[in-house]
Amino acid sequence: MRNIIFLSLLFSFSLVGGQVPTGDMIIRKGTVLTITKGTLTETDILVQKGKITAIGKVLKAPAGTKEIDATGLFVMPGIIDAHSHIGIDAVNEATNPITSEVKVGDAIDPFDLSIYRALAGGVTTSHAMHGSANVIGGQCQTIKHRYGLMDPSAFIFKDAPRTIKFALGENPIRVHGEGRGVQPRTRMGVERVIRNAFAEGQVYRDKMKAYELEKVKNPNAVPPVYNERYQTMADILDGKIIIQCHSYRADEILMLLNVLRDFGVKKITFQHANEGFKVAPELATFGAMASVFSDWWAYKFEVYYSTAYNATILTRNGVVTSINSDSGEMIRHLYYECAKTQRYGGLSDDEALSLITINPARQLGIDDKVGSIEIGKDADIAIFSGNPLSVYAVPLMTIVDGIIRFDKENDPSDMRIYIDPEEATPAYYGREEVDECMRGTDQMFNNRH
Amino acid sequence: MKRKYFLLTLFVFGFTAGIIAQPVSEDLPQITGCIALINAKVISAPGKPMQVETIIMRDGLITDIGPRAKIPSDAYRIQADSLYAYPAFIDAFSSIGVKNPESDAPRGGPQGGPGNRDRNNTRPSVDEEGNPSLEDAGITPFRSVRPSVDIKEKSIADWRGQGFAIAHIVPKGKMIPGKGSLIVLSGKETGQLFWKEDVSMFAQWSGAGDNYPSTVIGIMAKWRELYHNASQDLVQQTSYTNATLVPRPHYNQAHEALLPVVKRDMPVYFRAPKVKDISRALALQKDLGMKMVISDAEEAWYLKDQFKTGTIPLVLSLALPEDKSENKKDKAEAKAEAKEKNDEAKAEKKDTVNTDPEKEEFEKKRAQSLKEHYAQASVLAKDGIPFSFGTLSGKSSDFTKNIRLMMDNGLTNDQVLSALTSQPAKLLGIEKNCGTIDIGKMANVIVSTKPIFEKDAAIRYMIVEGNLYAYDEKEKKKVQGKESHSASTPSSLAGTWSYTIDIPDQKKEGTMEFIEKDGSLTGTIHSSDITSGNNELESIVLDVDAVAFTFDFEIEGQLMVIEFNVKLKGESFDGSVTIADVGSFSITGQRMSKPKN
Repeated sequence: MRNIIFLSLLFSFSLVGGQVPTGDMIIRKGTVLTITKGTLTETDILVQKGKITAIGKVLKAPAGTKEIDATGLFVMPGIIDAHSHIGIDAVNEATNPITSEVKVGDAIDPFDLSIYRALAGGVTTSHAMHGSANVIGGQCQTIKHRYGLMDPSAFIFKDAPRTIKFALGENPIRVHGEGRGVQPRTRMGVERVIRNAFAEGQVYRDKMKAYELEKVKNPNAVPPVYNERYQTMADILDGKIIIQCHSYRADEILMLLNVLRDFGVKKITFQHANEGFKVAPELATFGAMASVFSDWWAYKFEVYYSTAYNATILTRNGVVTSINSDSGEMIRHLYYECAKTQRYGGLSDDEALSLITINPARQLGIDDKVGSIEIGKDADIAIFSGNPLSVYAVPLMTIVDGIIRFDKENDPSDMRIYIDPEEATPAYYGREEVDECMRGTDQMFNNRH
Repeated sequence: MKRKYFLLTLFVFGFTAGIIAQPVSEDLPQITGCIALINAKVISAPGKPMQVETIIMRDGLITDIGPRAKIPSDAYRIQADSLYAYPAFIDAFSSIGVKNPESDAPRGGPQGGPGNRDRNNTRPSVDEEGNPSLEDAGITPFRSVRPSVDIKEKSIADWRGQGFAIAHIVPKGKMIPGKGSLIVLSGKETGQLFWKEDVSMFAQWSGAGDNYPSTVIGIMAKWRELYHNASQDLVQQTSYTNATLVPRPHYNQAHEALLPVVKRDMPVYFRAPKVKDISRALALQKDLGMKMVISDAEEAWYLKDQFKTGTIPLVLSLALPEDKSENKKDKAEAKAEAKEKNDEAKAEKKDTVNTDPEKEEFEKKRAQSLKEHYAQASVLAKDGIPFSFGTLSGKSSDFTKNIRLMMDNGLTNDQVLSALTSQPAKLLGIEKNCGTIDIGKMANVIVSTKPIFEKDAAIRYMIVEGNLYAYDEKEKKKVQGKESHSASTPSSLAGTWSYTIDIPDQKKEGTMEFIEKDGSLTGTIHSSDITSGNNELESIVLDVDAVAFTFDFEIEGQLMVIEFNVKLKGESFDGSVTIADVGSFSITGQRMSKPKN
């Protein structure tokens, strides 16, 4: 019976009236890790129409509400990955150092099994990013892991702020400078490209403003040629888009902070930021955030100077910090990744779990909707067999908008929705792990590294 | 770079599998402008009952029809008592008659260096790099299909031989290749093919390789910008015409060409085979509001709810996925047999491998998916969603096979006929002239030996705007694997042959050697154009004088299968070479030597 309910929910293909499906349920007697409001034992969570409507002991639920018994289990907010590339078919439009106009949200892949795998690791929301081939790459898309739906637009995190990928250092230099013989060839060139792009954005914004003024007086006013690239730069200048910048070295992080100060841009999260610990006070002063790896480095020259204490040092300096995966594999065990900060730096349970819940939510501008267990927030919930910071804990159930999207007890061996009738062996067999950030850029390189 | 190689190879090889009907009198001058098809069993439109009638056609029109229609004295009489007549097919979306571009490798562009930067401007514009010319970006909405059509293209006769009289053809290219036209598949010179030029805009998710836009996200962004600017231009042109003191609108070739699209005068035929292609095209339509026809669809049933309102018409692909598991099995079995002979103990091991339950589960799902693809048309028809068929991705030699596969999966005779006649006529706005057998309609008639989609039915005559094409009565047998080996006399093929493949403006030459040993044939191909290691010919089938074989050509890790179909004529042969999605070319050959024995 349970199977039937589960499957019918999972494979609810069509969206009624463009609304994403939501569910009702009550999760009974779990140890609730609210993240923002402490840990509550033997507590119930009531979910109605995909939202958390009540938290407390022995709650009453409307008759017929689905009950989930979480006695002895740990209930935490759905994990959020601030940096991934799952669920999209195109990562890099690597043909220009600046492609601020492209949106990975146009290439959502509802069939990507990585989404289901992420659910199996308790991850309910991820930030699908453009790659790091370009200095200013495309706009990213915050997605909810509603695996089972066919409509790409059903994965879009409604009302999540726009974000855009910037990239410093070796990747854009390799692709454009070395690979295509255009600017930037050096870190200096990278700065120049960004400054030029902002300058173009200013010029364009001024032209548009002048036109808007002129239009009031003159109905025949001629609009400037529409340019989606510059319009996006103008939107960044106007604070409508949060910059998410691929970066490693302290000097380039400071460089970008200076550029942003010059152009009056305030919203930024540095991605990777392996040397972020060196400039933690400066980041805190600026109000910049950081999304880092727990302990991944030395995969290229610019990432040697790194430490597993990075997240702790940033946190202790008041920088809103998250731990991300940038990988369809690591996304399954972000709860281990954040636990490493307890070994390296001794963060508290709530601080460690914040790195994969409320902090990435703040960085993506969705902390009013997800990232903690609070009344009024989306019912995005992960249930673990034990404390998720323990290596013995196993994710048992993952809920998105009040709908069970992963259930360990009911986890078919083949979760594909789309089956290519001509594919000899399913693609996820023997798929090579690649540097996801640079997907689709192979042909751009002169020298492979 | 890859593309260049790909195209090069295209021109080296090509082929068609089993042409069903061979025209016998294509070049005969027509003596009279009048044809009388006497006492045929006529199905005048999909859903209409069959009636024995005589059809009179004059000057390209149907002038009379009925059981007692008067036969004019000057009529060319066809006694059709045992034959069936149907309205000829209309191809809603295709590239019939369209030549392959000689090379679509990007010219110039950013690869060569920083480009022609203005040296006086110390601040390089962010717009310079990776912003190729419209041509290099694959944005050519101003281009018409007309100049790339050639009457000599084999596809015209091939598809006419399958019953098609009218086609909506689109140019080849990338993101926006250009404008489509309506052609009639009959004529002595290229210009005569054309009926209506520039009736549609063709778009697809094909990136410009190393140039911008190279990915689906780039194409989406570019569409938005082009559309926005074309809309702006429209407003500006109006005010320039009507008001004073308005500067002349800037001129952009692409924006100008998209004006009819923005005005919703011209539909965009968006090629969207797979389900994600379709949802993205629909998202773009929703965003921009152009008139769109989802075309070449292979997986539309996934999103059928979105087609129920009928605001977005559908053209389904005539290409169907192949059942690769069968082929695989055959190969595996052949290998296993060979193994068994050598080592019976090892055969046991093979059995355990074959019963991998996970693999079996995959196979089951794949078979299910295959069936769903075959059933696309019938599922849509059941829901009352109208659709037409388009040949763009299909092969003429697979046409009847694929139609029958769809019918085996629930599509009815009337539904097929409607998707090939009345629906496309309506979609293309030519229902007044085409799509049924009625007085005043264009004289486009299929005359077949049996009800058209029945097994072994063959086309005897095609009448295209009153022009008669007759086909050989002999039905060509599709040659099947093993038995033909024993039944035939392979020695007629053994030996060395020279071949010439005729590609417009160039000829490709080489030799092929066939060796017969213990009743089986092997072959190799040799040419300066083949630089990869493999030169083995595969699946060689010989039936009396018809030879078919394939050659697997690997370029940069991509496997291309080239099919050869030739007819032996003593010491020479002729026929065709075909590459799927590319086209076919004619091939001729001469015997150089017989086997020494």
